[in-house]
Amino acid sequence: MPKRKLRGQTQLEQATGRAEMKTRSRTDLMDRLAQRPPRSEEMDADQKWSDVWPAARTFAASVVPLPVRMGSRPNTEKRAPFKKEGNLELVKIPNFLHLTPAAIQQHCEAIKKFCTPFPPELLNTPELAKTELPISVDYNTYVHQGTNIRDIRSRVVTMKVQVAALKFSEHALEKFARLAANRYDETTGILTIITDRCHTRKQNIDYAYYLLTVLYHEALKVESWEKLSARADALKVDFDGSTTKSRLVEIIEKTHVDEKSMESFGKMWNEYRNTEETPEKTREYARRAKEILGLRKAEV
Amino acid sequence: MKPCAELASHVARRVAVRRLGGVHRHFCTEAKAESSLSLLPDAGTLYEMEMPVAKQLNMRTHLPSSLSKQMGTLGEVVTLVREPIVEVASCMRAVNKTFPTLRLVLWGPFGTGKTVTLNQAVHHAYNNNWAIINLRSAMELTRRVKEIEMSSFVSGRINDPSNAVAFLQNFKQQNQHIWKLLGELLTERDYEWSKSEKTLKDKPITEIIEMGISAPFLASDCVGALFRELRRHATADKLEVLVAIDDANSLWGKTLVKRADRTYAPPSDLTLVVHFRRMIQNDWMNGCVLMVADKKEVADARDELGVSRYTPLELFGEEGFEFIEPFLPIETTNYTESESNAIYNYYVKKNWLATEAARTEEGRKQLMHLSAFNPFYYERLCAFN
Repeated sequence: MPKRKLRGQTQLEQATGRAEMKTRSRTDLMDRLAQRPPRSEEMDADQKWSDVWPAARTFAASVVPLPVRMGSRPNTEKRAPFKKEGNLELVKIPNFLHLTPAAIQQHCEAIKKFCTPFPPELLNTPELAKTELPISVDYNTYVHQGTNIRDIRSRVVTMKVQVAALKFSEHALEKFARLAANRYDETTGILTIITDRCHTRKQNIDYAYYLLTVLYHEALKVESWEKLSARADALKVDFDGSTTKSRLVEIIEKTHVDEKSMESFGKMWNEYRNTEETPEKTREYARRAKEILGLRKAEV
Repeated sequence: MKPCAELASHVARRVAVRRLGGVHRHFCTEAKAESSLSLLPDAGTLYEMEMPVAKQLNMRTHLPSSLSKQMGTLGEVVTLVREPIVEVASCMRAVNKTFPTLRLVLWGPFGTGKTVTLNQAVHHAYNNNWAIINLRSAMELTRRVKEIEMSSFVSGRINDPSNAVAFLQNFKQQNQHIWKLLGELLTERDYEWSKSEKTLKDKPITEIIEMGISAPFLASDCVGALFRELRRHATADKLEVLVAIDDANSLWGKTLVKRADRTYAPPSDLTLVVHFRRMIQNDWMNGCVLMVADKKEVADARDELGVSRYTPLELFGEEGFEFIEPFLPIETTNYTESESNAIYNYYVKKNWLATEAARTEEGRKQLMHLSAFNPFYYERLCAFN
């Protein structure tokens, strides 16, 4: 136990008036007055924050009037993390103090005069987008805690195109399907181009548009060697010209089944051969085969 | 078709001569096709194949193994007449001498009775005095080839003497009912098998079979010649032929036959496969080709997660599918409730369902639903209750 009074005891005595409060005169008052207290202590509660912090900048303890603390200490229940003054951890991380809701609103108000309203037709019928806006470009933006606000994944761009909007002829569409390979989904009619080879998103978007342009013009070209393509080269199997048809023609001559059923059989056959085979489709095949072979179910 | 739950509660009855309207060729004017064939009971009834007949038709090896064992245990072959066999029978009725062979493909999930239907059709053909060409499994020609010989008839072809002899013996056994008729059919031309062996023109075609059985190294060629003669005689309306091939999609599958350079031979290089494919072609008359599309060709037994399809195009492949077209797919399905009841009543009658619990109403329902109406699993469950 020290011989002098503890600070607590002195304060208690001063508060109760038992001890005299000593005031020391300072040697250089002007020098002390020249040192300004931090700006954050002088701020009004109703000031415009976006004027204080208008753009992105590194955290400054003297400007931000918030009692933020950061860092890790053992036993946080006993001792709170370090406060903002001289706290390097707060300086390292990116902050969004310039993106307060009020600042965003102000920004939006300012650029509103350059915008047009969202088409009300699209609000009512979202399917219109398929025909009217055939190209869509998707990308992701990443926000996370760290020293770097860049993320390598944000450069990846996915472009989706409704191929029907390109108005291809049958030949061009087949060529397009071959060139696009697995990027073209035939069942949905959507071309998907994913680009990630350039460094920035902008470059990747440009590259995707470039690819689309090239694909389109290549598909429209007709090369001299394309005339040489044989039946076996076709992407799809066609009923016309198949051995099945020629065999059926022979049979039909004997069974006198009308031509119409041949047509409908051909239609079914094309679908059966060119799409995924399911038990239902096989049953349909059986039904039509029975019809065309002249076998039919009799009423018992 | 009528559901016949009560009917089936009787013990299996002998094949009754009953006309059944299933499918018929509506343009068909000839009386022959309409009159001669129709020995099949109603769908939903059980019918028995007599043991001597079953023995002649070699049912012990041709039926699925569990049914074959049951045949040994119960001492009789009783099967249920179901929709597919009715359809097959009515298609067989439509066969005539002016019309190219009808090709039927039995398809369906595992255990729903493709092979059983095939064997019922063989029995049906027997009842109607048709010639029967029955192959137990086309997979045997491609994957169970014990010994090979290079063909001297066509270079590059691979003969398979053991399977060829086995087939000829089986053919001889199954066709004893028309052996006399086959003896009257004569060969079209001289066949010179080797320098010493030959079959002259206008000899009975049974001589070809005997030749093949006695001389295995000629058997593969004999099969081809036999098929050729059968096609010719069938077209000339001397007889009707049923070609029943189990696992027929294996004729376009993979093989385990190695050539001299140690690569696998394609199935089109195997003489027997070529002969059977030739038989499937529809350039001859008066025949019916019944094939089974079985997924055992493509399914991997060790792949527990993959579910392979059982539809014809998937199993036959593009090449095989185009070869067999136009054909009629016939689907085999799971039991309906009345069908499973018919089988249940039969098993109860035969004391095959022995436990008390299985013979109660509750037990009947449990068997039905535990097997999920699948005929194979239904039989398996009944065998242990």
